Amino acid sequence: MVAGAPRSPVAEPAARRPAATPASPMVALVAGGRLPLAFIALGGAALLVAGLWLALEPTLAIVPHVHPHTIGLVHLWLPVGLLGLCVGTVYQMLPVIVGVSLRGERWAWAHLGLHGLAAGALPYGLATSRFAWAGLGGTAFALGAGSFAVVVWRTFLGGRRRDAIAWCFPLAATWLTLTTLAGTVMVVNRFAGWPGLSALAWLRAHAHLGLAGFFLSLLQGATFQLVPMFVLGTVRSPRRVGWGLALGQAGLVGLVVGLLGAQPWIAGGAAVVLAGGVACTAVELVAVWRSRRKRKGEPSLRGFLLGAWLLGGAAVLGVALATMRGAALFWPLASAYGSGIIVGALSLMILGMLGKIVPFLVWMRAYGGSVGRRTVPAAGTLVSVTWMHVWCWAHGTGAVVLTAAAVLGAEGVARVGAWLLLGGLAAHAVAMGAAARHLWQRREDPL
Amino acid sequence: MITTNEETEALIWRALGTVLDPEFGVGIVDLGLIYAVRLEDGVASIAMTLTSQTCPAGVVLMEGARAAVEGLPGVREVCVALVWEPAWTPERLTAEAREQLGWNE
Repeated sequence: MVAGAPRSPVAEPAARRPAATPASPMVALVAGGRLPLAFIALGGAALLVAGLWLALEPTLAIVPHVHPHTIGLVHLWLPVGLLGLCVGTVYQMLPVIVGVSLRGERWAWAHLGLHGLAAGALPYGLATSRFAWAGLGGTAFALGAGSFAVVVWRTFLGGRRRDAIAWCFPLAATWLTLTTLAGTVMVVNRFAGWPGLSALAWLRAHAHLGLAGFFLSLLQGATFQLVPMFVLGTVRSPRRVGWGLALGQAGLVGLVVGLLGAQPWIAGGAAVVLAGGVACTAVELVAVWRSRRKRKGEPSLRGFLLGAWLLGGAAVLGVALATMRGAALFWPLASAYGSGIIVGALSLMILGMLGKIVPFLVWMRAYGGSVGRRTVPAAGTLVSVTWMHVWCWAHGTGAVVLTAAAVLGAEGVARVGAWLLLGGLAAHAVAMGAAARHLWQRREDPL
Repeated sequence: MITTNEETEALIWRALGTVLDPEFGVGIVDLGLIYAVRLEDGVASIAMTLTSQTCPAGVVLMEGARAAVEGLPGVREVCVALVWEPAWTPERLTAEAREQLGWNE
């Protein structure tokens, strides 16, 4: 061995071993990172506006979820905000995971335009009952979701990977399309007035198709690509990951059937199956976390884990709600369920993971070409740990307070929770903005 | 500057050590990603791996390794080969890398 050799205990024998067959080519940054970051910026802005809306109108967290303003706010938060964040991530992650370039990048750019149009029109139209605007926004959203599904399926089929982590993407995209279809049925029914079609049943089915179909499916797969990578851990049981996803899919099918058919015991049984899937996912997440070699905790991942815990709680509450009809507690618990899942579980998990993804995307675009030529900062240093701590604390606390407010029906408590939540969202936006600044103000030094 | 093969290979290892993994801020040598370095007639052959087969920074790290070594005295050409065997494990981390990551086992 020569002087200057590494100090790794296995380096010397490995250095004498001939190299094996070179690996297949890897996928680089999609569209130079511009496409994913554009979706993330749009989704993040929508989320910030939604947080401000809730802070100004905190009663939306405690009134029945069929209130028009609540529906408008939920559509700004979920399909515009959180979905935008996820879509941007998917467009970058999926090609890397399946090992082929994104199929149909132009369709993805068209999706961005359609999503932008939907962002303004859909929540406004729903909140104000101006159905022409809702129709415009909904149509734009549906076309965007359709193009997303086409791009995702084409890219997935172009690769060879077929484990649960890869499958979660086309499954989530398909559920998103069905969610949009259900929304379209509801809108048409408003004018057609089909007999026997319960608007409330379709609303609940539509909500779960989106929440569990798109978001949960995506999290049940993508989590086991991202978390092990970020903490230098390992997936202990790929089979458990698969079971988690499979039970979630089966449970969701039964849940939608039960909700549409107003069959509480079918819905309840299916909710148990779905909760079982969430449990499998949770057990494996704990196993991955325990296997981690990177022991130094980060607020991004702490926020993600807090969200995961809230998701487990929401799944249990969902089982109860599925069989609860006419009970006095139903509406407050339903509001708590919605708050807990939307502003709590999903938002924490997605924003937590973005705390790692955004700096990485920015780093790749700003510094990737300088690696080996100049001294560049590590991706993790692009985002402020302090601001992310503020986010984790304020968002987590705000979500819990809002959920409690929904159960109590207390406007004052909801106001406190909403402003805490807004503070958390603002802190997260500041952290992401500081990271993004590196796109224009690079920090490089000679080697 | 005229260098011996041994001196040049030492320079190569040192240069590779300046290439940092973006996620962990640890050099790819301390991460144990560099399996072999060979210098023959001015051609530097580097065998390296990644922490996972779906590492999104793989292309950047490989190009970074090439860029770090190009232009070193005694190096006329650089070939970087990506290999998956033996598979990378966290046990390949050096003591310095483990301390940086907080892994004290």
